[in-house]
Amino acid sequence: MEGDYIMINKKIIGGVLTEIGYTLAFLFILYGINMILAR
Amino acid sequence: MNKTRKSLDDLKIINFYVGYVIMGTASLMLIPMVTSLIFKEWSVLLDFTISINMAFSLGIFLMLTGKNKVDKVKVQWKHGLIIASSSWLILTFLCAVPYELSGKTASFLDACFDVMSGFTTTGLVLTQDLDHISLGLNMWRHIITFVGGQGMVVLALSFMVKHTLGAYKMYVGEGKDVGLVPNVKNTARLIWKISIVYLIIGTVSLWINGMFIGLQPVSAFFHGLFIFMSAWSTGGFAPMSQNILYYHSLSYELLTMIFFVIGSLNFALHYAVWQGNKKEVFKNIETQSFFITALIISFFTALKLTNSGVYSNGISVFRKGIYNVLSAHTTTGFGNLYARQFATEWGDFPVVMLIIAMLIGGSACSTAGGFKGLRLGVVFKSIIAEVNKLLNSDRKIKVFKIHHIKEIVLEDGLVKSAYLIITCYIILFFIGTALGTYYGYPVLSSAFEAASVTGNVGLSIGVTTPTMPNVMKIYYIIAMYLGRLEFISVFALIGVSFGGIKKLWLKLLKQ
Repeated sequence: MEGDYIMINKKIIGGVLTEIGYTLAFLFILYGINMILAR
Repeated sequence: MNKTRKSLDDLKIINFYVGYVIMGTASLMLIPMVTSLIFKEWSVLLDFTISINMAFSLGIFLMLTGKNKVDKVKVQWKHGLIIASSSWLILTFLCAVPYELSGKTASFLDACFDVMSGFTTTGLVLTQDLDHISLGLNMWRHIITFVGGQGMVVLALSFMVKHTLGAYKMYVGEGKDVGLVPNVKNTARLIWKISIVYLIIGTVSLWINGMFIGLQPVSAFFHGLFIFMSAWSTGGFAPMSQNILYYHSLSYELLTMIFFVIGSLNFALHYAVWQGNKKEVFKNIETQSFFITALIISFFTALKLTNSGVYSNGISVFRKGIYNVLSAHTTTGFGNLYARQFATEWGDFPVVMLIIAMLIGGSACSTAGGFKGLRLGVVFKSIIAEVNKLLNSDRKIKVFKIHHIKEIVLEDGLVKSAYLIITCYIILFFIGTALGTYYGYPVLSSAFEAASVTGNVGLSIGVTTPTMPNVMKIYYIIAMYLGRLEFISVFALIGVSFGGIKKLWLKLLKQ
């Protein structure tokens, strides 16, 4: 029953890394646009 | 007679749950109390002892008045909405007591302003001499914003063992309308689990980074903890008056950016990603909406800041321009500029961009404010649907859908509700702007601050100071409160209060 919502396993690490990875990618896009504008 | 008894039963059931939420939130005062004890801040310990006693006394009293009705009366929608809205209001007063006793606020109104700013994850500050306040009070400020982000009702529900029958109604009353898992108690616990996992990761990474930039280990830990709690809750409080500018660190700015962007996402999205559904990030209407609007606003802000020569290189534009745009868009309110620099250095156009970003805000069912990307997406899709309907003859009926965790048909009710909430936000914003201009502030500055309080952002252009008129302080408190609870539950509270006053008035007239 607990397993329905507790995810103390690989999924947490996977989920956190995915979110951080996507956010970094998004920030990198913004940084890239910014650097192009600055040239 | 029967009607009067029913009203009394309503009041009792509301009392019981409000008392419960008060007890749950007031228990958190134990954390700053322990902090004060460890760091030998005796007067702060005394302040919190007085405050927690006051809160517990009221909480127990309210629970006792409704105890005999809790198993007999079913929690209805109106109860849930009123429990959420009145708990927030009463807790604002109770949680302001330690501020007032610390002597760091000019008045109790300023203390209430800071608490409401914390609970609603706004981040505007009226507390004075921020750089020298005690660790205990600083802990309390950041706990308030961290708990406010997840929601006090959510906190109470997480520990509720019995009485979960009407829990969903209270949960919705707090502006969170997505059930992550079928049971609302488990949903509340899941929200906390997601936040606690990130709290550990965020605090450790900011702690290490803090030591690298020259902070002492203990100090770096507390700075990391406080800044993370603020970033995740999209709050904007910081232990130092210069906010993020204090650290002068690109890595610190980058870490906070990552945490506040993730913090502004819907808890249902976190849950989906954690369950392995990574594609949801790209399909979800909220992330699409956020990505597009953040990209457009960042682009034009960077373009203007570059062309007008405000910053000499691209990295500076990124660190100052993009950081503040994302801080505004996620409704965090972290700033690495002095407030007046927006007006004196940036000029009008970037400030207007920030106002738009602040009004749009983050995701629904997250810690963020604003009228939310979900509603913007719904409105945009409804415009496409209307144009499509006009262009095609009525022979062909097309069903429009949005993707938010699952496919949702774009029904009239959904569109109407999105327009309604956006309209309320815009009205609140315009009143705030008008009020600022009435008291002599420039239009753009008034609009900036009004957008900041309406969207629960916390960036300031210099209007919010302890010396600003009390009327504005009160209006800002109301705007933060309405903006965070998304109007409906507050309207329910006002409606019931006015209904009660009307009844009492009529009764007196009859006598």
